[in-house]
Amino acid sequence: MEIYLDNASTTKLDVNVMRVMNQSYQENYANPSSMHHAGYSVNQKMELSRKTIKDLLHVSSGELIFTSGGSEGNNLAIMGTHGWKFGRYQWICSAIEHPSVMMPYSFLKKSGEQVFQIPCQKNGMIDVAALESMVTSETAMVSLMHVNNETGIKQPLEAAIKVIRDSNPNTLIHIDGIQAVGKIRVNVSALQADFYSISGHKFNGPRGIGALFIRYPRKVMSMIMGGGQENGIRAGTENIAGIAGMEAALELKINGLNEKIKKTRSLRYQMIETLNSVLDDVHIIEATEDNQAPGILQVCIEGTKSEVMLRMLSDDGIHLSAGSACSSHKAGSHVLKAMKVPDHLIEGALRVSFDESLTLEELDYFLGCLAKNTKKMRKMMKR
Amino acid sequence: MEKLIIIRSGETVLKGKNRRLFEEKLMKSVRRVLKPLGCHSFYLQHNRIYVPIEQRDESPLLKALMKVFGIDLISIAVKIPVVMEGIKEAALNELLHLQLQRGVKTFKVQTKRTDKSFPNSSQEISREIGAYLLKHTEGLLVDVHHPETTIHVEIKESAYIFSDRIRGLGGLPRETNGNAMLLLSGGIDSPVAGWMVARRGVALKAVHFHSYPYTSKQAMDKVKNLARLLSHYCGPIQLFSINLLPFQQEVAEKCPDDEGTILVRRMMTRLAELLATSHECDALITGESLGQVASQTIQSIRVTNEAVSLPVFRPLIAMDKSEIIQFARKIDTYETSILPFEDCCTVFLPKRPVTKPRLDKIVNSEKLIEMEAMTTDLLNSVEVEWVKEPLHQVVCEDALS
Repeated sequence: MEIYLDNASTTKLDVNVMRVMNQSYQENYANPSSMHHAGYSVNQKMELSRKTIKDLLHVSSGELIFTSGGSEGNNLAIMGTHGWKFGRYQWICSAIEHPSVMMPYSFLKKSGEQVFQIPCQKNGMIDVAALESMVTSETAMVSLMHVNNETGIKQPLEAAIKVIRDSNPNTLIHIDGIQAVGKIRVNVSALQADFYSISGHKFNGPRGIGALFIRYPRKVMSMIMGGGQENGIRAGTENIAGIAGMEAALELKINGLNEKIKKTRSLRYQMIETLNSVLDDVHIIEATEDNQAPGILQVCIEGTKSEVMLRMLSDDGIHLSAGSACSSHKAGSHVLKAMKVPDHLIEGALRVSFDESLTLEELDYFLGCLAKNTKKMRKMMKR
Repeated sequence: MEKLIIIRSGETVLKGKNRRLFEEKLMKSVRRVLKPLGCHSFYLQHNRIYVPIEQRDESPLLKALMKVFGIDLISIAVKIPVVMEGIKEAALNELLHLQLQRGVKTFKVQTKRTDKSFPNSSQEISREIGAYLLKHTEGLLVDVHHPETTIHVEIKESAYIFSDRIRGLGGLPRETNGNAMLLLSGGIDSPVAGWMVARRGVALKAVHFHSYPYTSKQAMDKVKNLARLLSHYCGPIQLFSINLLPFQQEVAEKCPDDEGTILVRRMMTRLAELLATSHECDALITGESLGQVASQTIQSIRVTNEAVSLPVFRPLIAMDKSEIIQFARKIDTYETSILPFEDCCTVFLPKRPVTKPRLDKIVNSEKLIEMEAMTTDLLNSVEVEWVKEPLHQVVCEDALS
């Protein structure tokens, strides 16, 4: 049996999305920037896709710029803003951000900018009080995650955005929504963020396509220069089939989302319940129901090594990820460390990420294998 | 005028009646690296191998030859008829080239005359050519004691003129000194140890021990890549892989925790010996360096040695880590060795491994395990493959670098 439990890394392309893309490749091959009818027609279709995606994300103002994926969207938000604002500003991100946010901030720091990091609390949420004390009149940007990619914990964005706006209404707010879209309900307008990044392959869409919502496009400097596509913010001929695929995937995912969330949540509860009944010393890293994306389960199994467990499970046909590593040369998960999870738990941390399509039979098989391998490994580790 | 590479073997010339065998093996090694470069015609004459370059670029050929054991010196020469005017002209061309390329200011001419029918003595020839070179160049002086370059003139059935003598790898041609089994890990040391012994003409086979799934597939691939890099010097290597996990599990369950490392080390050596004897190897090779880790103390090495009767070659035993690293860089294995895929999981590392093991205690601990059955099971699970470097690809990459 092959079970894929690594949906936070990437998802399988939906077969209906593939059909849409095939058709787009065959029919919409013209360059949307070309002056001829074929080009114009493709351009119109692309703009329709853009509108649909904006509507699905509840984007009412600003621009939606197509990118090559989540990392580019995050980079463009941060580095594109830094292109205009540099030299005497402060920049803030949280300690649990994805590397595609962490690395640009690290670059800014090396370039001489003042960069601050919001600590994470033990409950997996950023410390809003600490954020409040950090924001000043000099703060150019704050980058925050909507849903954390390792724990699935929703961040307190409403409270965070309020304190940022209250302290400095000019501070730009960038939200990394890559793990949120298609997993929880997203309303970009209600968030009142200035940037919101998404990635197609996280919700059964294609790879190589993403989008960045930008409230004030004029305040962003292009990182890829060339033919002036995407309102001059992102040069390069648009990935038309990718855009069509992302639109189709998003529509499919958001259609009946409440039911899907309910089913995924029920699977999650079942997983936790069975885990606790078959194994002792199992620690679930999670937030309350309202603050937890149901499709990610971070579980720490004491007396195991996650890297070894991944290989054992993969041999059983079960594929998932971990934030930790067996080797002493590799650092463990920065997210769990920021949450002050003890090292011995981080060592055995697994990220199970799934969606509503997981069957009960698959769930049973996974938990059976997990229990079997845990016992085997604990024996080896003399626990 | 013909341009060619002259290859001189080192110790092969000392081999008396076996010299022919050694020369044949060297020819075979040279053929192995030159054939993929489209160079098929070369010949052995007067203890040397001559490789006509024709219209080829010589640098890929030289790089390939620099990976052949048994070659002492390499020169790029011109071969011309034994006529004094022609020899002088060729020597002048060589010197002018060096002056232009490297800005040499001093030189000397050194002649070796094996064809005694040539009327002038070696010294007379050197003097005459030297005078000719001085007359036809500007800004060059003769310095017989410390010249920046030496123009070599050899008078045989033809005359050979060359300047540089490039130092080869030395050692003995491969397959002239029996077979040995290398205990190959993914670390820095064992590939170097294997290379050093292979340079003495020993054909390598290798055995790798892993603990999958406690160690990764990437760690196994890393070992294969190291064997592949070695095979560029040593030829195809038969690589045996054994998963030691069943033994490690038994040790973890039944034996004192601090003896884990030495017990596993003895088992590895024992299995390597069994594989060696069944595959025509007369020695084992390890990358042990005295005192480097717990299993490499003088007492641990003694206890490990007691497990086997074949000689164990440990060419790195008295080398410092920095020297071994330098060597690994030289033979191009270092960058692969330091890839972060370890062949030992931290699960198997005792908190305080015994560094001065006592043989009687270790033997007693082994009695807690069904050693014979375990050894048989492990040997039955061995996986074998031949690892070889696609020569032409490597040489082409080298040529580009």
